[in-house]
Amino acid sequence: MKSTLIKVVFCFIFILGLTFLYGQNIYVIHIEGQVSLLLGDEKKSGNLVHGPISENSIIILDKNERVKLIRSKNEICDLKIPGKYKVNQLPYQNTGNNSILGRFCEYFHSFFTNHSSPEAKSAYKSSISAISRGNMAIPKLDFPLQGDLALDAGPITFMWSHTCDTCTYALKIYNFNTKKLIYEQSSKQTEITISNPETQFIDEVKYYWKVEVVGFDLEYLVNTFNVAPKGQFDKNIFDIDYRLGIEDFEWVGTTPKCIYIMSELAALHKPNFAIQYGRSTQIRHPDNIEIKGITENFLYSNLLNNGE
Amino acid sequence: MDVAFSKFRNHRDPTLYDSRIVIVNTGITDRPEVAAAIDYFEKKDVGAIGIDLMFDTVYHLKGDTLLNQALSASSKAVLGFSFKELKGEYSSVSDLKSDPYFANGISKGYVNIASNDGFSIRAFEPFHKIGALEEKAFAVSIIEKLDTTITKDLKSRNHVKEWINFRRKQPGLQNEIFPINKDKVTHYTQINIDRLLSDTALYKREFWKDKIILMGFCGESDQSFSMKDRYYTPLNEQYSGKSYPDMHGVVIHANIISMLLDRKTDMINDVSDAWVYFISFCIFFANYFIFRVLLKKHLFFLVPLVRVIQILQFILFFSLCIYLLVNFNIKLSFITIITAVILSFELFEFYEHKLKKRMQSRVESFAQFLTTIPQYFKTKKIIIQDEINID
Repeated sequence: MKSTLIKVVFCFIFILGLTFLYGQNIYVIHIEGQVSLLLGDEKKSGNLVHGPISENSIIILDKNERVKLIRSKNEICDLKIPGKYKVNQLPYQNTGNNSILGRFCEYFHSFFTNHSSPEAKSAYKSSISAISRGNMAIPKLDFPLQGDLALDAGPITFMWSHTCDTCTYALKIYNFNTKKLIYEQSSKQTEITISNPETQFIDEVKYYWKVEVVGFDLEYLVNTFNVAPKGQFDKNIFDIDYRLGIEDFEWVGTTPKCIYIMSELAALHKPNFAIQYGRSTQIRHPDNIEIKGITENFLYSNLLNNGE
Repeated sequence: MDVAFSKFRNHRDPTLYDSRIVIVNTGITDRPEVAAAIDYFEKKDVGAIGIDLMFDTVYHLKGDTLLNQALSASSKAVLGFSFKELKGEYSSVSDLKSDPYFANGISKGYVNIASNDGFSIRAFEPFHKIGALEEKAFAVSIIEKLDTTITKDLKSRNHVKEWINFRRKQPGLQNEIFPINKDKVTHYTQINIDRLLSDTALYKREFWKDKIILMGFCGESDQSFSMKDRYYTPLNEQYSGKSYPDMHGVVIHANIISMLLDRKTDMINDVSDAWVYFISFCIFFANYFIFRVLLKKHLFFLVPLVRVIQILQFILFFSLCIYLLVNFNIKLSFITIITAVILSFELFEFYEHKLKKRMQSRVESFAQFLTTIPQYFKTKKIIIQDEINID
């Protein structure tokens, strides 16, 4: 009897010891993008893969890449900002007790916390709205249109049309090739502005986007756009501006010049550039109310022409 | 409650058919159709028209104008809206509602129904404070069109929440399957709005008189088995494990209305906590004497026998709870009582082996103390008498 007890205690200590030793390792549990890895001597390099990682290695994070690491005691490190990270110097955050004993204690403690009886009326909340909203129309996607979109023309406002006063919309943008969701934002308005588009999107990558009405499982419209190479927007504007200079149009006022450049950009099959130019002009000249109307008119005439 | 309602009620009872309520399945909401139906019912002297549909957007189409005109001309219509509960009971805000273009001047009631898990519905609140105003539930607002005493009656019960006495199942051919309506019973008349409007001559004027019309979604068509606006209720024939939601929101409102119309006999009353604790104490007390008798007989199979007695008691009290709920609409809390049954033997042993001697010695010393009291007064009386004599 005594020897059996000793054996059981020994096994318990052995398992606990193993758990402790095993838990000291650092593991990569989540990777977004193609994250590079430098090994200890900084000569060998490769791509980061899921699983154990050496404490001496360095993680190199680029734009739109993300890595999550976990080490013993359920400590997690979430890397999002581009840069070089030494694995042994990473800041970890404790997400709770992970030991078996800790879990036992938590579970035991939960018996003494306040549980309302399912039979008690006080446990019932008026949370269900038993009403039908009938058929819901799908939101129509307005901006950006199909084609090139510039990241260096200021904030990008995604716009859609939908008549519902109490709906919440979810804007979702995906990488066209990987189908990975890269941006998601909810709003009760019919537009969402991305202030720093360069942090969300990568040059010369194709994306698709859609707007969902939260709580409605519908067949939603999808639209695509290509992120233009850096500087292309400025180059196009400069070229048109230069042409204006040659043709001695220096005397032209802001509004006609804006119309001319927008129409020239549209002729180049860059309607998004045209609208972005209109909007940036609008920001530069807040007193000029005509430009806002011209930009909107341009957008909706484009939508009409495209049969939207 | 789920077991009692789904398994122990006779759903084939012909008296369950409620002719006072007619459900109109609006299918995929077509505003001109809804407007035409409201116009039709208004002319037929119905008691009330409950519209369990939300028109939260004005599309500026012909249908909007028609619906606006139909609702404005109707004195019987009740629209639904919803509220959102914030922290605390009285800090709720209005949530989803029909556009004022449709809802101005129309009676309203909130469509919120109470659930303890977000899926299963067993209770509702007749009144709820939204902001500074006390609003009425959809069913209460509808009944008020016919019977103005409903508010007073419900207030006099002084219950914040009421259990819903689910008796009537989801109608419709597509629902006549397990676990929704295996018995294929019809407790409410359900008419599809298209069929109603295409052949109104089928229904005589007397058929509609004083009826409560509930317009809502019960599937896109007669054949479709839609999961929209559909919830779990205690009438679900598969009361545990995975199952289909068994009832559309509009039929839940119909069940509440039926219960409120028969409120003198059909409301569910809880046995108060004080009574439940008293019954539990009585169970402890009765079991103590039963176990003592068994212990005195020095039975070899004492523990198994005690367990058999506990199982029998479990069956007895379980049956009693179901019987009271099914036949008398009395809800007796089963958990507390059954805990008393389960713990009674363990507490008996604890008392017999640990507490009894101490208790007995305390009781004896207290009894001894009691016997000294007359002696004390007797002595005191003699002393006082002596003092008087000395004076």
